[in-house]
Amino acid sequence: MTARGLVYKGPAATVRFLSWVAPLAILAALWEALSQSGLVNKSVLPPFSEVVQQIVSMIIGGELALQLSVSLYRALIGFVVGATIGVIIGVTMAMVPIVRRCVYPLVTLTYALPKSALIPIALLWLGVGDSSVILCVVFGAAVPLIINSFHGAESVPEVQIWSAESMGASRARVFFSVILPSALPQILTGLRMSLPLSFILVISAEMVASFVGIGNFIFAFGNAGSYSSMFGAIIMVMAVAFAIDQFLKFISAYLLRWTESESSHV
Amino acid sequence: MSKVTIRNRTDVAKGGLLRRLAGRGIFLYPIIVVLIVWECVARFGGFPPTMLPPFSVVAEQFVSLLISGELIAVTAVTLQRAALGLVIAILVGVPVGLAMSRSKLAKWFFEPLVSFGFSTPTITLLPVFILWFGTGYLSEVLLVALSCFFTIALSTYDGAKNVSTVIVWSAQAMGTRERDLPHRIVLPAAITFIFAGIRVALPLAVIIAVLAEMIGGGGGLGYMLMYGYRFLDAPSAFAALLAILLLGLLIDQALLWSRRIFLPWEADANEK
Repeated sequence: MTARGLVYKGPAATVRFLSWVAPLAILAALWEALSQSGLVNKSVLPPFSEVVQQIVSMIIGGELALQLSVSLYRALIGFVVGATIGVIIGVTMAMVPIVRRCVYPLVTLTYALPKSALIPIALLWLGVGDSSVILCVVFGAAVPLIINSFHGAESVPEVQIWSAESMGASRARVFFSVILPSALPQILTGLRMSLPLSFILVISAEMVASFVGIGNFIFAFGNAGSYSSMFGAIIMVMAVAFAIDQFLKFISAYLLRWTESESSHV
Repeated sequence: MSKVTIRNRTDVAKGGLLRRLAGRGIFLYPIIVVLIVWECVARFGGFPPTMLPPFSVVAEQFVSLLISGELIAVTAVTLQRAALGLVIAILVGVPVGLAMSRSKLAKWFFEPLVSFGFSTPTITLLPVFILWFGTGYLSEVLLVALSCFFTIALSTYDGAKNVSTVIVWSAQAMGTRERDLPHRIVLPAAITFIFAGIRVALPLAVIIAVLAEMIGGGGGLGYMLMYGYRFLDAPSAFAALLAILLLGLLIDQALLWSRRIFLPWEADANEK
């Protein structure tokens, strides 16, 4: 039944949200039941309620925010530097053939190399600390962006470039008004790939060589035996990562609203 | 746009080994240049050998490890973990993905879990697995399995979802039972997407396996990397890095090759 002039758009947003959250809630309930009932050893699977308690106290105590901000800081700096380098290299590769022939083989190699394998090497070079982590993130963020921006810039329809040039556009104008917008979807895909990757790299690096940061935070709890805090920290990290991903999806949907594309949920 | 493909094998073989090598050679020049630069910088740049060993030293170490069989053993450990985890992920992920595409209830239940898990760093769960299963084999295999599960489930779901309904209707019209549909109709049609998912998941499996080894220990290439770092044995660390790189390249080639065998109609679509 539709009111005249109105189209039924499906259940309200809140209902959709709740229905999406429901399976997670079911899992949480199962978790609580499993733990409280004693079926699973409490030290191995602390009750969900206890975990939530710890999360709250960590948030209030401010330690969670501190550790998270350290990790995020590293991830963001590495991401920004790496992404910028990546886009510059990628687009240059697409526009200048010599650069492409020189750099492409190297890019293929670095693509095959998991950037997390660089963590011990970075540690060898720069020791334990911010810079080694950031170095890894720079590499990790740059490579997907090189590839994506290269493909994006490469696939600009030549007709568009020619039309712009025939209408008197300068090289710079062509670049900013034709190539860049056309490559934007691919570049955004690359960004969407490398931001979570940066975050993952930071956490991995912190777990590998324990020093300040959320990765270490989690491990420290594990070693100290306070498992409910450990679970709590892990859940918070996952929530933050998820939030970042959703945020990125939202932003790219907004920036790309003029493109025609089938919506994909990945 | 599809490129011109080699028409038949004899064409290439006749075309001349030399010509093929030369074609490949151009690809290698930049790499060789980088290696030469590496060697010079390492020898004359004043870096301590524990930080940046010259490429020749690394290569030497690599070859000696290869000959002594140690490298193969170590790689085998890592590969075993990755393969086992991947197999588990496929065994669980494909049915889940198929179920998600056919049953609304399954979709409602699994979609939040899978998309939540997909965008989170699964490595954060390693401490949990270590808590439950101890350090070593099982926890790392399961971590690999979990990480790959999300990718595989999602791509299976994507693929199964996109199976042309016409195909499904024809099958139904010809009397296929509802419960036969998944494995006789949807699965073969979705195999392309599933394979794409595996293509992404396989390197992921290796990466997670190496990462888990770096953190949790227990042999394998990741452990060798960390060992090199801890004992300042840079040549070993770099040799392990080289091994990982080669492994990644080999795996990708193997995947492309197996795709050509199992899904020959896909071969031209995208080789990269």
